[in-house]
Order: sequence, then structure tokens, then C-alpha cells
Amino acid sequence: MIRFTLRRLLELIPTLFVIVVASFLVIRLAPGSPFSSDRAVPPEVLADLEARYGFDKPVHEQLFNYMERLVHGDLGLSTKYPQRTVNEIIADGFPSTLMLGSLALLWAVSLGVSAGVMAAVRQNTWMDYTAMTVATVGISVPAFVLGPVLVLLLSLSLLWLPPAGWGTWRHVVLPAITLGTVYAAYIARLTRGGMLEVVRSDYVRTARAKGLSEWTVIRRHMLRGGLLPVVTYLGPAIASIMVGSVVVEKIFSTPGIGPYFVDAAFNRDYFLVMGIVVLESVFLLLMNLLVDLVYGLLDPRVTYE
Amino acid sequence: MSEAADVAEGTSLWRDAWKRLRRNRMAVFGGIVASVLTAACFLGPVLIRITWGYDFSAQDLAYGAKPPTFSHWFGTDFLGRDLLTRVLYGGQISILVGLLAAVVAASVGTIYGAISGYAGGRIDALMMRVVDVIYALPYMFLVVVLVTVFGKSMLLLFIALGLVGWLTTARIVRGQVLSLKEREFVHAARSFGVNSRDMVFRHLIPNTLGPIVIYFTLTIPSMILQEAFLSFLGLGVQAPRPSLGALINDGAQHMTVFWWEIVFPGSVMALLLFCLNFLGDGVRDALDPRMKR
Repeated sequence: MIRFTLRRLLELIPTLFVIVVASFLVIRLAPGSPFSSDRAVPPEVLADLEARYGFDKPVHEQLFNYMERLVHGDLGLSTKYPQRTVNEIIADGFPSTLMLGSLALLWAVSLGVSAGVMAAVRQNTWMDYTAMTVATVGISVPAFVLGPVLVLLLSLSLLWLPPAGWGTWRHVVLPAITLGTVYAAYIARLTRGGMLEVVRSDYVRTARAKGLSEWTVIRRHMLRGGLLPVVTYLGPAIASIMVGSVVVEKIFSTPGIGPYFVDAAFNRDYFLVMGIVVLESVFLLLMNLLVDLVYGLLDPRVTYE
Repeated sequence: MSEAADVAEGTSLWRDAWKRLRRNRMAVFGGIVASVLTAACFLGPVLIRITWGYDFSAQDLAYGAKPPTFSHWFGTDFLGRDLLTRVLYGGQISILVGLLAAVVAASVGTIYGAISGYAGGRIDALMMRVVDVIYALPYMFLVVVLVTVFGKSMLLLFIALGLVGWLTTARIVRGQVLSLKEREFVHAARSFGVNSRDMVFRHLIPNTLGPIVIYFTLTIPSMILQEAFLSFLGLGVQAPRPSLGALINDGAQHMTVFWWEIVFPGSVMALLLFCLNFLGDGVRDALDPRMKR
């Protein structure tokens, strides 16, 4: 398993290389300049600025320089915030994005798995139908509708929770629920499907025949097989939770890196855009690897080759 | 497969599926409401213009931001534009974008997957490797970059959304083609000297239509959602043209005072997605009864 992990980690390098080259070229070769939105700048000053960021060199040389600095963990300078490095901006914003994402995922998994298990165990009863209808409603209400509606109801009308800001646990409840609910709905549907797949299998019947309680059969035997589709889904889900946080951080004005990304792309803040793309890619690739490893732990038939 | 057998088996599969779909009450409900919504979005703005003379961009600053009344069913926004007209017009754009992006995604994915599966061997391995790499990209971030960098045209929006949506279709079609190409009718066609292009387009792809249709119906709501996501960030359809995402964005900024500006576009968006999702689930269950759980 260690060898498998190491090999998969090595395989990430070419993928990451492709991502960096492709996104660098797209951003760098596009029309527009990070300095064009400012007031008219004298040509000497502009030349100075371009030299400072290395934009005066040919593109392939810039790419090479960027790669070289990237290997050393240096993400470069921001053009929009000249006094800060990209590393600093990310170090400031990423912890809160990560916290929001993890809490949203926790909410999604706990709600989704319990609803899915309940629906599967009571298949074709009103509980099943209710849970699955609610899940389809949940899938259909995007975060940018759910967020404002929750604020309208819970913050502005009932005054239970703050509508925006960051700092205490009360600030994180609404953003996490907004971000996680769609995934809870997907996970509920997947859990139900996975559980129904195993509910009539021989090993579950054996477990029942041994006289185990229903709860133990579910927890120890059915969940292990039934959760495989959920685990497969978690990789892409984590990725899109990171994307979704762009919207949620905008709605609730939390200090994450999401809002920086759209602004940076607008302002042609090349290194900041690249920094966030690289960060998200590494994160996403590692999460996918983790999902594959967990998959092997859950399903003894999977071997790490 | 001979022509006659093809027709006989083909019609019975689709007829069976149609029967199953009609028995699924939630799917029928979803289909009817989605059709009514679509008709309303396309005819509504015209009717409103004839009845009241409102236009999606006509401003009436003296009449800014009024709650719903009999002459403005959804109220007006802060520039005095009739919100019902704007929501319907926005729905029209969302539906169009969703459909077109789903068509782009389904066509690209089908052709790519069919070629990959039919070619087999090294070409297949290489083509699927490309899909794997693109799968690993944080693609919504790349769409954001593409759209900001290359300007915000509607055409680019379709292409950007369609181009990221084709991966799953490609995988599904490839899997189908891999198993189909060992079947007798393919051997028979080959013995008649059918060339590769006709083999892929006339024999293999028509036999994978079931899974393609299933995935296509589920792609439409997800494309509508992604367009709305981009519009919410200000990267989608541009003002004064409304799209549901852009309207929700406006509404979210003014919701503390003008609740109707978020409630109406948000509900229409949710209702549309809800019905399309139910319809998509129904089509899946009808075409592939084994998937029903």
C-alpha cells in the first residue's frame, strides 16, 4: 500500500505539470494586461513595472521562471496587491476556506448518510418517499438561492444567526449549511442506492442469521459495502465544494480565497490566479488519491496494484 | 442487425420506455411543469408586452422597486423594470443555454467515446488518458479563467460549459462501444465491407442511444445550474439581458429591503431544476429499469 501511494504520488507530477503549463499559457497569452485598468501610466513606469514582474521577457522564459520558483514553493507577486506575495494572500485566506469546506462536508456526509440509510432500511414506505423527494428538492436548490433564503429567514426575520462575517461558531453555521446541503442530497441518494444493492446479499443474510441486532448489521456489515458509491463520489464532491465556496464566501463575506479568484482573473493578476489554480489542483489530486486509498480499506476485493 | 430487426427491436425498447415513463407520476408531473414553464418563458414576455407594454430592459425610475401588485405580478426591480418579464426572459436564456450546452456536451462526448472505444488499443488508451487528465483539472476554475480572459460572449459560454461536460458521456459511450463491437451485427457489417466511419456513426452510436439520452436529460439541469453559477459571479449573460443567475445575484444584493427580487427568480430556478431532475430520473428509470432502486 505504501508503494502504491508513492507511485500514485509520483504520477501526480506529470498531471500537475500539464495543468500548470496549460493554465499559464491560457492566462498569459490572453489579451489584456494587469496594468491596463489603472490610470494612464507613463511608458517608463510601465516598463519598470513589467520588468519587476518579468513580463518583458518572452512567454516561454516566463513559464520557465515560474516553474522554477514554483518548485521552491514561491508563488510570485500579486499585481493587484503589490505589497503582498501570493503566498501571503493564500496563507491568509485558505484556512477559513478549508474550515468552511470541511464543515460543509461534515454536514453533507452526516445528513446524507443518515437519510440514505433510513430510506433504504424502510424502502418503499412514506419515510423512503419523503427522504428521496426532499433529496431531489435539495439537489434543485443551488447554493446561491439557498444562501440568501436562509439569511432572509434565519438572520433577518428570526434573528437567530448573523447574516455575514466571520469569527465565532455562529458565523460559520449558515455558510456551511448553504454549501453542504446540495451534497447531502446527492449523498442521500447514493447511500440509499448502495445500501439497497447489498441489502439482499448473502453476507448480510449471514450476519442476520448469526442473530446480530438490526442496528449492528447495518453499522458493521451493510454500511461497509453500501458506502462505496458515496466514497467514489466524495473526490469530485470535495472539488466542487471548493468551487462552490467561491459563491458562498461571496454571499456571506467570509475571508476565504474564493472571492480573490474571480477578482484576480478579472484584473489579470496572473500569479494570483495561477497560485489559486495550482493550490486547488494539488488539493483536488490529493483528495482523489485519498478516496482511492479509502476505497481499498472499505472493499477487501480492491487490491493496490 | 438487419433493417427489419433493427426497427422492430428499436421501437419496442422506446415504446416500453415511454410506457414506463408515463406510469411514473413524479416524472410526468416534472415533464408537464417543465413544459409549462418553458412555454411561459418563451411566450410570456410577448404576451406581457402586448398586454402591458413592458420590456425586459424598459426602465421606469419613478416606479423603482415596488412589491408585487396586479399590474406587476412579481413586483419591479430597483430600476422599475417589470420583474415577471425579466424572470421569464431570464428563464428563456437559462433553458437555451442549458439545452445547447447539453447538446454540445453530448455530441462531443458521444463521438469521442465511440471513436476511442472502436479504435481500441493504444489510441483508446491515449484518448482515455486525456479524459482522465481533464477530469483531474479544477475545471470550474478553468471556465472562470476562460470566460474572464476571452470576453463574455454567449457563444463562448456554450462552448466553455459544453466542453467541460462531455467527459462522462465519453466514458459511458466508450464502455458501451467496447462491448458492442464484439457483437454479431458488427462482425456482419464488417464482412459486408462497411468502413470505419459508417461503422461508428450508423451501427455503433445508434445502439448506444439509451445511455446517451439518459445522461443528456440529466445534463440539462446541471448545465442550467452552471450557467447560473457563472452569471451569479457576473461572468455569464451580460446586462441588460437577464439570466436567472444574474437576477438572483441582483436579488441577493438587495434582499434586505426588496425580498421579492430574490424570492421569485430563486423559486423559478429551483422549480425548473426540480422538474428537470425528476424528469431526468424518470427517463433513466424508464430506459434502464435495472438502475431503478
